[in-house]
Amino acid sequence: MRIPFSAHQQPLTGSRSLTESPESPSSARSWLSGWTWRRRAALVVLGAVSATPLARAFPLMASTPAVTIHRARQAQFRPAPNRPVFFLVLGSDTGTPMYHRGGSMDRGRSDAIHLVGVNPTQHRATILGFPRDSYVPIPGHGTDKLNSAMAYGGPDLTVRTVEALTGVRIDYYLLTNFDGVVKMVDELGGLDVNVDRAMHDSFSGSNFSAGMNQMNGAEVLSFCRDRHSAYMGDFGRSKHQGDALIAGLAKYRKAIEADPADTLSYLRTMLRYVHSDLPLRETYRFALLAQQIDPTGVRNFVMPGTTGPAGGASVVFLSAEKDSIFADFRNDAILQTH
Amino acid sequence: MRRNGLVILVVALLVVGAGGAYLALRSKSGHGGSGSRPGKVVLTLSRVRAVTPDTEPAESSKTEEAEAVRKVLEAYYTDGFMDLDAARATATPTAPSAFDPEASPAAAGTDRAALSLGEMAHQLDTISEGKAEASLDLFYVQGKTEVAVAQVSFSARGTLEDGRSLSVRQKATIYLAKDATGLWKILAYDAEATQDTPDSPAPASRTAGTPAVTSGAGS
Repeated sequence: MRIPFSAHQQPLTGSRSLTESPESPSSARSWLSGWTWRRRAALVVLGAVSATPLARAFPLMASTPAVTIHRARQAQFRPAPNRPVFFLVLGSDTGTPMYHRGGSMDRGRSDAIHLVGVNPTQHRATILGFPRDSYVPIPGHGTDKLNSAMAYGGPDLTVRTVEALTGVRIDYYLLTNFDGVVKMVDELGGLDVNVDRAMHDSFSGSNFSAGMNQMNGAEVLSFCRDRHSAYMGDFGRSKHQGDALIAGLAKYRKAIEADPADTLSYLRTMLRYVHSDLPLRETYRFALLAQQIDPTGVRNFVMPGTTGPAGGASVVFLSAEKDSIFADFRNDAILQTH
Repeated sequence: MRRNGLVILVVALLVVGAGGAYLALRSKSGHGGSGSRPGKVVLTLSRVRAVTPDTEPAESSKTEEAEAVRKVLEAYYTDGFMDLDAARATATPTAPSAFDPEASPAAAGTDRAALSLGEMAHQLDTISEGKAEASLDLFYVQGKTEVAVAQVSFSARGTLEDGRSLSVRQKATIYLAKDATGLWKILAYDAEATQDTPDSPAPASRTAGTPAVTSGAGS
């Protein structure tokens, strides 16, 4: 947009001193009347030509007031893929010395299983939580609880299992465990988590009143593990794990608002405590993209189902509407009809 | 009558000549204007910090990488804010070599006004005193860095065609990443730029991405 300039700044508009003769209009007409048309034309051209350099050279000759200029522009750019991106976020129950559980993190059972879809164009995200006991086909291993896929074949098999179940092409996986959650949250200075109802559970150690709770790492872990005092047991627990992810996003956004360089602090924490197949540059790109996602608009949805016995164990049978949920989710990473 | 006309012609020619000579002198004396050699932004790093999930990098690497980033930023600010000819060339991106191919179209298009002099380049006669200060955070993994965040404050002083001065400022967070050849490129940014004549009112509150232009009668 071009700023409208005052008359003296515009070439060829001329000021009074340039275009008017010192003589009266009638006397000017009288001496002009004796001129040929060529001379009149030459005078007009000369006047026009002289106006430009004079107006630039002697701006103070102008009498029209100058405009005040105040321009402010803001711009933000984040690199983003032009299609939805899907992450499988897993929480393992092994490889956690702090909780006296040995083994390798990527060969335990994944007790937290979330398919996170990000729509970069709309700056929106959806968390699709799966109860760990969801009874599903596992490629090469028949039908079993979803959380056992990682014990059978690590994160790769869990990715393939969820892909086969949902029809969603998963781009990357992110895996952590008990120790990772505790250390990650503590390193970031705790999380503010909205607890939907009071939770008191000796198994997980949860002890929260309803409402906003400021939690340290161990408290966040107990909030995510508690299935005894969570509403609807395993379903409620999966929702709480999604709530913790959203609280993490909110914390991240708040931190980088105060100091954008904190993007790198969060990246550092993530690399320390999360295993992933994301290359560093991609991790950085998604960390930048996450800055544009409003946590209050993130949908946290747990797959519905019913509990029942299978193979001598209590399992979750996902609801018959699962296929329509997956179809709705996979096209743009946003749940619209559920 | 014929003699009067001749006198007017001679006077007019003298005035044109004087005006032209004045402008030529201004241009030659280094005040800028179209075609003059652009000034260079001096960008200083007020702080360089390494962020790493593992071991601290060698000091020499930090110094070397910080200097490489500094040069990229200095080139960007020089091209975008000090080179009037480059800034007027609306068909080309702002400092194209500084930006990652993903960021380049937005930098040269919708975000051009916040990342360079933008359209104001057409109204300026000269631009000088360009300086910038940045704090830089380099992210290291196993002794190597690929990504960085720079927070930059830039200022310069321009002269409008009517002789008034124009204050040019920009504050930006610039997210950089190395490309496949190891060169630092601007991958993402948040930028807020202002251009004010000295008698401008205080900036009103702004919303991200919404351009605010105020033009009011001044003295």
